[in-house]
Amino acid sequence: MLQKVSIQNFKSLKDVTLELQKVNLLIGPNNSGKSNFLKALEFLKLLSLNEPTTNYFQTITKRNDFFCKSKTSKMSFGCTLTEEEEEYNMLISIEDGKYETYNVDRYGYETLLGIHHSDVNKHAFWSEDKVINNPPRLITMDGFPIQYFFKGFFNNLSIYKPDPNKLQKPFPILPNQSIVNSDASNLVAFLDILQGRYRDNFVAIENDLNKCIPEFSRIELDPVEIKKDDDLFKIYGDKTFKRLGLFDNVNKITYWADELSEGTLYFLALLCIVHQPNPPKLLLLEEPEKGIHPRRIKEVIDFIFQLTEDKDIQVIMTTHSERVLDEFEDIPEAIFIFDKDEEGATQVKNLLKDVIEPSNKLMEENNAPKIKFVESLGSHWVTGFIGGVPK
Amino acid sequence: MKILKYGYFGEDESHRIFLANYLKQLIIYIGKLNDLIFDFDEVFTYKFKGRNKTDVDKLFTEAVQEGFIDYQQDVFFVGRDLDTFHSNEFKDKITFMQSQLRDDFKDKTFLMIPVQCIEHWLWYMKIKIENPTLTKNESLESKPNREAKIALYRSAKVSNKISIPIVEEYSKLLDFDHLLSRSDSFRVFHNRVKDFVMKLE
Repeated sequence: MLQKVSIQNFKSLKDVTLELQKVNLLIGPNNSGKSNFLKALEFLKLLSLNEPTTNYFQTITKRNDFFCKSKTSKMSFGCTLTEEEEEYNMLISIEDGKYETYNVDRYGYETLLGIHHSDVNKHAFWSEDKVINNPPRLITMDGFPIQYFFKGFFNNLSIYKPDPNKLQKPFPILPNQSIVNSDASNLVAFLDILQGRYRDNFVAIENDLNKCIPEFSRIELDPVEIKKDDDLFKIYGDKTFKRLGLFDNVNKITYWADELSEGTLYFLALLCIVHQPNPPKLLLLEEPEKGIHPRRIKEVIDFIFQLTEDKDIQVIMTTHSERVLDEFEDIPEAIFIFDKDEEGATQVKNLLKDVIEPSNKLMEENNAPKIKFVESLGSHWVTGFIGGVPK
Repeated sequence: MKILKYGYFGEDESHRIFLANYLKQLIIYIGKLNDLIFDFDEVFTYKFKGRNKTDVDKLFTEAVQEGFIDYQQDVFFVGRDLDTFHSNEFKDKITFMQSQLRDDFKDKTFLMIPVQCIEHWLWYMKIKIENPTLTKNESLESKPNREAKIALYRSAKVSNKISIPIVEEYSKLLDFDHLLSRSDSFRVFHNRVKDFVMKLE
């Protein structure tokens, strides 16, 4: 589990630290830095997974990724991963055309793991086939190099923001589509692979869909002919195309994707993301309530919690829905409130530690009752009691 | 010169604008222009917004508490439309809301609850301004909200772009005596604020 993330000078995140839970909810007005935090985790994944090339390095350190008002050109990312009883810390700092990776032990002692330089000849980085300067090989409890642990965690990490419009058209049956795209645009090809090769996952999606939207009992994938002058043919060439549909068990009719509501398609995409054969260990979701009927939001959130229990997946999601917030009233420590200060830098508060506990203390000192934040949490948010609201 | 920092929690912008203009004119009306200033707590009020009647009812006691304890305000105003004409409901509402407040906040918290909606108070002013010599004492508060809004904004539902300048216009030209002689709900609100201010040293 990703226990703690600390970010300095990445986009609007001048200096933020979040101590994360199993499921985490980020709230705040538009443009307050919630998406930047998710992008920072994606960035961290790139730094953890890739052997950087000169082009790659120049791309990731392009100037506009730094906090614009910062006096320093140093960007840094710290993260703490835990597995069972063990804790692993990694610190990555980017400065002056190079980035350095450190392991930080429990006493705060930093060990350099590698240096990536914009000039690839100056790399000093441990990898399977390349050892330069013999940096120490730190290993996990299982005997694997510590980098493997971080690589394994960040593998398949993506910010999911399903776009129902992209599901309405037929899609070619392409190879290697067992991972859902971040916008879920490849859902047809993904489901086609599942139907043939990962039958259990396919059935699980159908079952969960039926549980939440009972009228639909079956997913249909139907071959369609695409003419040569069609844009899809021009993009993908001569392929087998299929369209997506859901069978309505009540009316005995299949509704094809262009006849289904955006909310239904969004929910289907969400189900596919969580039922991937190799789901990410950390799931980043932007506004999972989007397009979902208010009464179904509870089911979607319940489903996300079930996912963390059943599949041991950690979730970080953003929301603009007070109904989603209401579902977190028992775990205020999992809510992070984003706001921007006068300088334009993102400030993050934890609802429990930085809002509720100081307020309780202040009210106690004044012999006043505690503010009942978690009773109707959504209302307390939207009316301004916990911050994270537009002016 | 005494400065009273005030907080406001209510359902919409019309109430807040009316209140700000009312307080500016009140100190003139009671002859305290050189003695008193009402200082609007912008930070608090732009953060805390009541949004609708349900939220105001549910959260106003906590908003009052935050205002006095955390924001160190001197007085607090709560704004909410009553949406009904029955005088018993008005009295019951005022009594019930007052009873929910902590004892040491009661004297310095003022409930601005127009019978029906704030547009009715402004409607009285509109008629007075358009007919300065009119003496007929017609009760408008028995008329539905929709009618008051159409009379004021020419439509039952308009954007803030249209409504706010109209609220500003009529609330800046309050005729206290005219309003006091016609609206019971305004009289209850005004008398409480006036009594509080007159007792200040």
